[in-house]
Amino acid sequence: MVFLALFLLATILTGIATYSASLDTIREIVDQRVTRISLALAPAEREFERSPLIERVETLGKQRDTGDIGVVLLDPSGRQVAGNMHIPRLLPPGLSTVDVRDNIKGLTKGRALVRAIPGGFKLIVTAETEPFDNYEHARRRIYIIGFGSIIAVVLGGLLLFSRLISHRITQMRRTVDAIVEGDMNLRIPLTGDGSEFDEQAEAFNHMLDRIQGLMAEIQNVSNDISHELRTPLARLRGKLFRLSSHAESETQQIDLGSALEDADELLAMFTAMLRIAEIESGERRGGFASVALDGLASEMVAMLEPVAADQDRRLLIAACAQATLRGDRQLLMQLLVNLVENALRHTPAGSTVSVSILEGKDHAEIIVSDDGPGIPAEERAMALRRFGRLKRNAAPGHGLGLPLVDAIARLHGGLMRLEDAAPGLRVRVWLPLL
Amino acid sequence: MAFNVLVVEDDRDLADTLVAQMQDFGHHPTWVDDGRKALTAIGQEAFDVVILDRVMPVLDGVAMLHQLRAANVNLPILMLTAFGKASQKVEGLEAGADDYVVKPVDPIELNARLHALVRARQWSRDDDGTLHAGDLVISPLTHRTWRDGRPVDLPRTEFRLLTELARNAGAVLTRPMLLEKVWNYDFEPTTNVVDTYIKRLRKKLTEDGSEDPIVTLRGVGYMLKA
Repeated sequence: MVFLALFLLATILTGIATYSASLDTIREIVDQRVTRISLALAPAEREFERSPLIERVETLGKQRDTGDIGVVLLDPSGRQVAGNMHIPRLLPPGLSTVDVRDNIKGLTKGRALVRAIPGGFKLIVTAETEPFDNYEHARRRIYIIGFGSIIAVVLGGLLLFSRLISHRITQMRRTVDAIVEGDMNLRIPLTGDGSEFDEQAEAFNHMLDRIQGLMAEIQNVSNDISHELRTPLARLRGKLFRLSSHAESETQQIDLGSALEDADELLAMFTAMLRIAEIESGERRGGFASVALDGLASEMVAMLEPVAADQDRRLLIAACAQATLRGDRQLLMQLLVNLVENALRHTPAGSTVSVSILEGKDHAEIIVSDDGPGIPAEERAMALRRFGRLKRNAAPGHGLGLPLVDAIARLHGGLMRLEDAAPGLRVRVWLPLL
Repeated sequence: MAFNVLVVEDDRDLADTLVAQMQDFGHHPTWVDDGRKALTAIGQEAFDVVILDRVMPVLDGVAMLHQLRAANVNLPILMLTAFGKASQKVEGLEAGADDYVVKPVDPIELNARLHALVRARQWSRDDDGTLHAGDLVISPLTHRTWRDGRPVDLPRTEFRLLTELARNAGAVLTRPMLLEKVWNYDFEPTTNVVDTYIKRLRKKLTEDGSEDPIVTLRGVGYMLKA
């Protein structure tokens, strides 16, 4: 802004200076001309005869090529004795400026030289400072157009430049936003013009490559751990099972049974972790096919309704719009099942869980709400984290249900959000229709 | 029931574990470490079932399956694979595997699946597909069930559950097996879906006061009395 103001000021000052300098120059040239003509008519320091002087004045006044020159000869009494114009005003001796207000016929702006010549005569010579009528206007126009176009070009350039910058910065910000959303595969597009922006983008992309590499390593380590631990766990479960089937007392049977349940829970946890890893690898995108979400939801509700009834909870479909999208049927079913199981697990007996399928212009929405205790706003982010179980939450579960739903939604290009159903929890899953 | 099991696995440790587990269940395992040796062994000896590793040197699991099926060998084959390769599962089943299990395998689950595979080859059923198990008669074609000659009206899911149990009558079906076969899920819900539906099925089958035909094997699964 400061730069812009300074630039405008400098341009305007330059314009004014150039304008007045050119005015001065023209005046000087015209002054020289009227002096030359005056001296030619009546050379200095010489006596004149009256009639040849009058004749010279008349001749000059009639000449065509000096059409813009006005001459007037006044006798000592101030009467005009010769000349091609009439000057109503008494002009001061020497050089002066005359203009339209002086009411001289055929003159808009000019210079006048008033010389006293021997014999009490006064010789007045005037000349236009403007080569044609309304030159002043034209000149102003030229200056306004000239400097105006400079200002316009610079302002336009600035605007274009700032657009370019903001375009590239927006590109970068979009990439960052998408990465924050979880798409680590995105990179900032390069234009290949070798500009500073390209270098910046390249450095940024390198950084992302490195981060992604490190993340993949961490991911691999945790996947390897899950995978490696499954084998001894499966063995442990096998041994526990054999022991429990040969248990000698009932207490032993109960203890071994609960140990077996723990082993199953651990195995389920590792299975869920590996399942998330499988989903996040994006491999299942290859098997995407057309899936009718509404059909899937009714099937899921029909399947889980008796389970909910067993647990003294109500499960119902609140809205079921037709929505068909491209996706993995198994995973979308798992998403629905997980959301409902999550709601059943975290609500007290007598609660109602409702499932809705909504269809928008370019997306479908799955909404699962319950009228249970809900999750306070500050704990919602924690609920989405792996193993992020809530403090007051005594309900069983491995803390991977919602992260799994989140991973499935993201595989389909969608999003998951937790909201307050007042009372209760509402989970919204937004899926693009394509 | 004791089976002649061919274990085709290139990882020695895993093969040893599998062989020991098969012996635990009273089966007679034979171990080979690549697909070509497996083809030779199948040509020389009569096996009841094959446990086949998906990834192997020389001749891998899928290639070997293609050769076997091309040669019209109708031996039940259970394929083993590393976790999480949904595409491999489809590929394996399309190549002609009868079942597909992710490593590591719970030995009880593996044994149950082997039994189901062998039994599937010996289904006793009428020409129209009607199944018999104890005093139960199930007609998948007309979607009807009779117990001791009296019709039993079953909802869709319960009917499919009973059909699956009847096809494997006398053998245990684990929860994952039922989820796969009845519900077509490749994941396990955390709630006891299977237990809930077994309970409903039992209620329907015993409404008239007759004996419960379904046996619960704690920590394993369910079995319909043959």
